[in-house]
Amino acid sequence: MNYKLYVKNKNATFENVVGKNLMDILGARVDVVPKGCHHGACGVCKVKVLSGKFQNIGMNRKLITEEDEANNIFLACRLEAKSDMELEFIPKKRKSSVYVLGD
Amino acid sequence: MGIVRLGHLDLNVIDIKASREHFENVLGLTVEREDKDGALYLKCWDEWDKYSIVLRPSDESTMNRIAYKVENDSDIDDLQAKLEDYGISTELLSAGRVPECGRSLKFNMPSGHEMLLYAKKTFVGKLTGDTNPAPWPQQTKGVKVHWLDHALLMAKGPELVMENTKLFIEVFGFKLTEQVTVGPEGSLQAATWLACSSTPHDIAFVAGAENGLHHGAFFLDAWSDILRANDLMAMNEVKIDVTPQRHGITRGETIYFFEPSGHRFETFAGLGYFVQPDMPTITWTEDNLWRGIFYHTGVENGAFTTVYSLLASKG
Repeated sequence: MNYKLYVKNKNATFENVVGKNLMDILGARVDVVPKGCHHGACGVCKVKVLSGKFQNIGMNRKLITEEDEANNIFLACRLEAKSDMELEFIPKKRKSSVYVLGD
Repeated sequence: MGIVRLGHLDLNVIDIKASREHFENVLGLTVEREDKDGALYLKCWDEWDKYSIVLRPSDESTMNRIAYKVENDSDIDDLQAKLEDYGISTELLSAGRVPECGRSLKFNMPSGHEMLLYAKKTFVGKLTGDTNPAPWPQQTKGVKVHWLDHALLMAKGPELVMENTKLFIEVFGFKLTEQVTVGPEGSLQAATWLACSSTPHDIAFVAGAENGLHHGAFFLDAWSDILRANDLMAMNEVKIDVTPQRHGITRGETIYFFEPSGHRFETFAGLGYFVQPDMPTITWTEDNLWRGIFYHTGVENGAFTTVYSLLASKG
């Protein structure tokens, strides 16, 4: 089955979403989701699931709490689509007071 | 004599099965010990102590601690006194508290990263043995990384980079080999590279939004090994962060990649240069930062200072 992925707040559609985690799909467009580790450690691929069925292969508790999950907030790299899905990308909050090298 | 080398990196991983397969089959480490709680202790073929990587099954992919080896057991008492004097509280751990190790000293860097010092770890030996050895082991899988070479830690802001750097120089006697200076008249260090050996770095610190582990690095000999390594990673569908490139800083030939639980690692080749106590420190100015990090492209790749693993939740 080939599913469709729609990122609402980026107005971006991805086709043929099957067999990979959601970040592997979304990561093809850095204007939608910035580069990340694709395996759950870095937290850049946070999304809110607005609709659709999915499999959760296990979150990184340092980044996603149980409360987040209850509110449909996940790391895209730890989800696999089981139907068409609609998402909202949640960008990492920047702590502007801390100097980050190269930023 | 004090600290002689990086001893091990201790990590939590959310997918220990996939991470284990990666370290064993792609990189060529061997599991030397497996605990009842699932913790794995892995060793590279060219190391002689029992392990340099600890993987712990967890609901987090985070860094627990970094451990360095000291030359003599008496160094532990020496450095405990020096650290306490410096204002850092320490805890002496009895033999065995750190697996396979003798007495060890536990403390936090000014940034909050947990650090251990130990003098003894169980001897296993290089895979090639120490009598009439072959130059490399035929049976080792994949990339055949030599040893764990260094780690780069993210510290929250230049102030903590500088405090960590000061500790490593003044208490541990490391040499500042390279630095990135920022701010008015380049008065702040936003990144530092420090050596206790004759290689360009045994530890490094970079200023980021949060404390964390940027990467651990394994040593390879030369550029041809880097090409072969990336070929093997591609065959195994490893997520590549940066394809073969040279760093301006350290002159290192590099690949950055993510292991299956998301921790970034590096295969790092070449000596770079021979470090001595009187070697002049190299400075990279803010406007040339990206040439320092990626010498060939001279541009940021979008993830270098924002994508990395965080420190383990305590308690």
